[in-house]
Parts: sequence; C-alpha cells; structure tokens
Amino acid sequence: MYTQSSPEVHDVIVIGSGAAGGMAAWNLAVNHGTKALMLDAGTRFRREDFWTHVKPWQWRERIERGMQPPKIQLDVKEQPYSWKEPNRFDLIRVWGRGGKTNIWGRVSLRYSDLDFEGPARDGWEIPWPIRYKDIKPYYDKVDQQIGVCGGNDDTDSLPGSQFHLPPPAFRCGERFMKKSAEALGIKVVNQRRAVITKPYKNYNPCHFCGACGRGCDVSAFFNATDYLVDPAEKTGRLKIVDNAVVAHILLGEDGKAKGVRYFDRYTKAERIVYGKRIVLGASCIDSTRILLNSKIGNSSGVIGNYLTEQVRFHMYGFVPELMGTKPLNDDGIGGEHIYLPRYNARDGRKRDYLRGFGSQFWNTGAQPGVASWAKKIDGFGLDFKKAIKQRFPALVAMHPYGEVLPYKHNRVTVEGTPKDRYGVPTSRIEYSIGDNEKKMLAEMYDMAESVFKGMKAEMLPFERGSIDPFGSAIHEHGTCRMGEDPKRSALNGFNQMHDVKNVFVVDGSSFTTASEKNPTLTILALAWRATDYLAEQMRQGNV
Amino acid sequence: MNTRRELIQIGAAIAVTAQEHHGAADELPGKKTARFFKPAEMELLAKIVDAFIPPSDTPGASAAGAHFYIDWQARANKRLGERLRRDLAWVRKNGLELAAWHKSTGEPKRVFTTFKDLTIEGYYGTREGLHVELGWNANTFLREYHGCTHKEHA
Repeated sequence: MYTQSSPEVHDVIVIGSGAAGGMAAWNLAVNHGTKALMLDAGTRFRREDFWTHVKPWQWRERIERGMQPPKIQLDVKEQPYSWKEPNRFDLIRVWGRGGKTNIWGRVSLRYSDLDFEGPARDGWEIPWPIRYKDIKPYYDKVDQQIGVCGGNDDTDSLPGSQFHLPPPAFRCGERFMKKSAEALGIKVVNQRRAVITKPYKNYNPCHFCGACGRGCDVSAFFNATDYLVDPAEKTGRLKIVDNAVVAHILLGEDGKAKGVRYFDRYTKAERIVYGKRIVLGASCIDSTRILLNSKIGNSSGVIGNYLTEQVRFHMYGFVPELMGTKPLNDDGIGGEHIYLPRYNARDGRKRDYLRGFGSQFWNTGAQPGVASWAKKIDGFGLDFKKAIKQRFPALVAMHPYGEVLPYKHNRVTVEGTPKDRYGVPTSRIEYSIGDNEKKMLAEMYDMAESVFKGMKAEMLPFERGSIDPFGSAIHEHGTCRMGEDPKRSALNGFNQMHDVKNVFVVDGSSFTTASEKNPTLTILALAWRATDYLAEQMRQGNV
Repeated sequence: MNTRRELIQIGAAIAVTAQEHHGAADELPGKKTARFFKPAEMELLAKIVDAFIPPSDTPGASAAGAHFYIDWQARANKRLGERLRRDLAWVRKNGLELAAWHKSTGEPKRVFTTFKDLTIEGYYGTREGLHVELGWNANTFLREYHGCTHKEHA
C-alpha cells in the first residue's frame, strides 16, 4: 500500500484536540510561540446543530420525523473495543474537535495533597511524583483561562480558588441536603464547574437553560475547541489535520520518536508526518492503544496496566417540605450547585479501606426526566397522577464517587485483539473492583442514607451495594502513569516518557491514582505544566 | 451586581441564542398517526393509558397522545410490539381491571407494569404531561438564576 508522507518535520506534533491535546497545543502556540501540528481523529462539531433548546416533546417529534441530534459520541461500530467477560466496560469516546469537552459534566475539582500524598501515605502502589504546590499555580492559571465558578472555600480535600467565578444560587432541594449533611458534621461546599456565570473575557455567559449535556449553543462552558484550539489556530502557528486517526508513533534509530502514522478516518489512506517532539493526548484508552501498538516507552511494563476509574451509585428521594410546592425553574447551570468533598480523613477514625469518596447531587429539583422515578411510585389513576405532581418539585438525588485503587490486573491490552477498519489492533479492557472498594461502598451507602434520613426524605427503593456499570463515570486513568521510578512508571513528573524523551503523554492515562474526583481540571493543569516544561527543554536544546 | 456592559453582553448572548433557536420554539406537533397498531388496538390502548393517568383539571394520557408514543415504541421495536399486541388481546379477553392487576402477581401484574411504565414515559415527555400537568417551564433563557427563593428554606 502506498503511504503518503509529508517531508516537513514539525516542531511538535500534538495528538488529540480535547482537554489534554487542546491545552498542549494552545500553550505551545499561544504562550510559547511554538509551531505545532495537531492530529484530530474527527472534525469540528457545529454548535448551531446542537439540540440545546429542544423541549422533550419537540425532541420526540423530531425523532419521529426522522431527524437525529448531532452525533457526538463515537459509534462503537466504527471503532470497536472489547472487554473481558463478565465485566462489561462502557467506553465513551468523542472523535472530533474538543473531544469529550463538548458534552462533559464540567465538574472542576482540584486535587489536594490528600490525593497526591495518598499512595505515599498508605503504601498502595507508587507515589505521585508531584504535590499540590507543584500544580497549584497551574490550577490558578487554568481557572482564569477557562472560567470556573465555585467558592473559595478550602477544605483539606478540596482546595478553593480565588479565581472562581460566582457560584450559582442553590436549588431548594440542595439547601435541604446541605443542611442535612452538615447536621451530620459533613461539610458541603459550592460545586466547582467550568461554566461562565458572569460576563468574563469574551466568553458568552450562561443563560441557565440546563441542557449542557447536549452541547452548549453559545459556548458558555469550557470546551477545548472555542477556548483553546481556535485561539491557537488563530496565531497561525497551529495547523490541524482533521479526521486523522493515529495508529502509531514511529521511532528513529536513535531511540527517539520521529513521527506519527495515521489513517484518514474516511478514505483510510495511510499517511506519515514527521516531528521532533510528540505530545499525546488522545484520551486514556486511545493513547494507551497507540503506545502499545507502537511498542514504545514500556521498559517498565506498566503501560496498559493499572487502569482505574471510580465506583458510583445513585440514591433518590423526596423532601417532605417541598412536596406539593409550586415548581421553580431548577435548571441552573446544569448539574448540581453543591458538592460534598471527601471527609473521611477528618474524624480520626480508622477505616477498613484506603482512600475516600465524595458526592455529587445532580438531577435535584423539578427536572424533566420524570419517568426515571415515576415508575417506582405505586398506584394508578387520579391518586397516582396527584402523587407524581406532589413529588415533582421535591426530588433530591445523591451520586457518591469513590476512588478505585490502581490494580495491575485492571488493564488495556492489544495483543490478539480484533483489528479496526485500518488494520490496527483494538483495545481490550479487563476491569474489576476489589475488597477495598466494596468496603468503601458500605460507608458511601451509610453516608448517603443518613443524609436522606436527616431530611426525613421519602426514599426511592435502592439496592445496597449496587454500582453503576464500569466505565460509566467516563474517568479512565492510570495506564501510562507518572512516577519517579522508571522501573515502575512510564512518565516522569512532567509527563515526559522515561524511555523516549521527546514524547509527552498528557491525558488521564498519566495519573498515578484516580482519586474520587473528576479529572479534567487536573488534566488541563498537567498538560499546561508539561508543555511549559517541554518548551523550556526545547529552549535548552534537550529535546 | 452586573455592570451595564455586562448586562448588554448577557442580553446580546441571549438574543443570539434565541434567534438561532426560533425554529425549535416555533415547532408544532404533527398530526399523530398510528403506524403499528390497528385502529381497534389504538382505541383500547387509549382507554388503558387513561386508566393509568386519567384527565383531571389537566389532560389525561390519551389527550396527550401517550398511546401514540406506545405505538411509536412498538414500531421501533417489533419484538416489543408483538408482545404488546398479545397483551392487548389479553386485556380485551380479560377486561381492563387495573385494581385487580395491581394487587395480583404473575401475568396480570406484568401486563400492569408494562402498560404503566410505557404510559408514564409517554405522558411525562409531552407538553401536556410535563408543562401543563406538572408545571415544568424550563430549558429556556434567563438573565439571572435565582435558585430557591423561599425564605423558609434558607
């Protein structure tokens, strides 16, 4: 087969355009004046096409007429993956400009030293090579660059920020849950979300329609396209190749990366581009697949192993004081306005598990997804109709997230897997949780139930111990982890490969542990920090 | 407090968004036509959905078109459709006795749950069910979000 290759040798090739790749490209092009080539597995999503302001009944009408909302998530039929039975793993991918930041939950939590020092303290797997003081300046810069609303209410497990935009007002149900948790001695703070809650820079402010999960039609929450990639491209220093599905990073005889092989997503034409440095940010699983298929940087043998995510469940109920009240517009900025940070390190009581959990509260209030809970209400007829109406404004919800320890047997492999449409081996995921997570879940359930009972809430039935399908938090981490010991990690503390010095891996795969927190803010901060380091190394002639 | 410049910026953003989405706001429901069930089946289905969610001071399930939602689901999933067709025949034979099905187990309970769940999905996704009955009036454009406005909840 003929392979087209460009003779140009790019200063930097960035793989991926989401939070990781977008930040890397933006920092290099805008702040460091570096020329870069971005390879994006898709193309731009038109925000005019988002069904942001389509009411539920209009949505149904449109579907019946044969219309479809824009297809943002990658279809598994286009790019298959597999898992080891019986543990299905849901892998959500977005190939296209901005990646998952088009539809992300926007929760923007800083890691604290409780997270960074966790492995060193309890001895489970390798320590992080960085601490909060190393990343704090970057969290500050990211908050200012993308706009994050929240409070400056520090806790030991969740640092605040003097750069947060104003937090949104609480919904009624959130006030009840906050009071109930705090009566138990558990602090609840303003949720931190990457939403523009007041005019800020040139970004459009949020108009509180609550439909962020369908993509924002005015770009009032951070997405890598509008906030990073477009400004980078405008400098003239970033070139972007659309529909470039990367298969391999190519090594030269000197042991350094020399280029990238990719396939055109639609024509399947094979192409090679050359570069002096590679920044890989294709998301955890796809970056891992690229590295494993490239057979590079893995003298430690850790690449692909230690896949981790979070355990999560949902609990719902109704606040008696809110039953039968007039429903308010509870959309807000989409998702909850409060957050329950990890607290289990405060009371001095020793747990029978390592690490911890926090909780989110989305869906609280008069929300349109009525069918999800109304089916669990007994009865029929006028009494049933009345029962639903009474409960509609009173819905409260908790969604605790618990850290899953990094286990070597939780892994991504490509050996012997089916090949994709380009002839490249696909990912196979093996994933399970252990006793540590099951013990933690017991306390997570106790805590959530206590908060509901404290409000004297009428609770919807739940099955104690049950959890969401693996992968559904969409927070994959750890398969190309950073660490100080090259024998036990693939990257150093600046996301640079120990083995191949001109390759940097900047997405969630670089995390040493998962924590209980949503990772995107930390991915952005790490990618900014890594590319500052890369730019400095370039100036010094080291890479 | 927002500055004048900020208010102008907010207003402009809302105007642009509203302009872009005037099509969605103007969309009117099309005339409903059953495409899976026969007229006699639709007639019975309308009675069933109204038994679960009857009209009151607001429309009931059939006035909202919940039975057309079920027809749509049946068309999209032929296996479900054929099962529902058998269930409708069962209802015709045994009578529409929700109170009895509700207390029973086995087949009557399964039929009860199947039609109840589909009625709920159908009704509370419509304008009549979600907006007129429950008072949901969101997914719109606001200059400011006030959250809970009840002093007693503070």
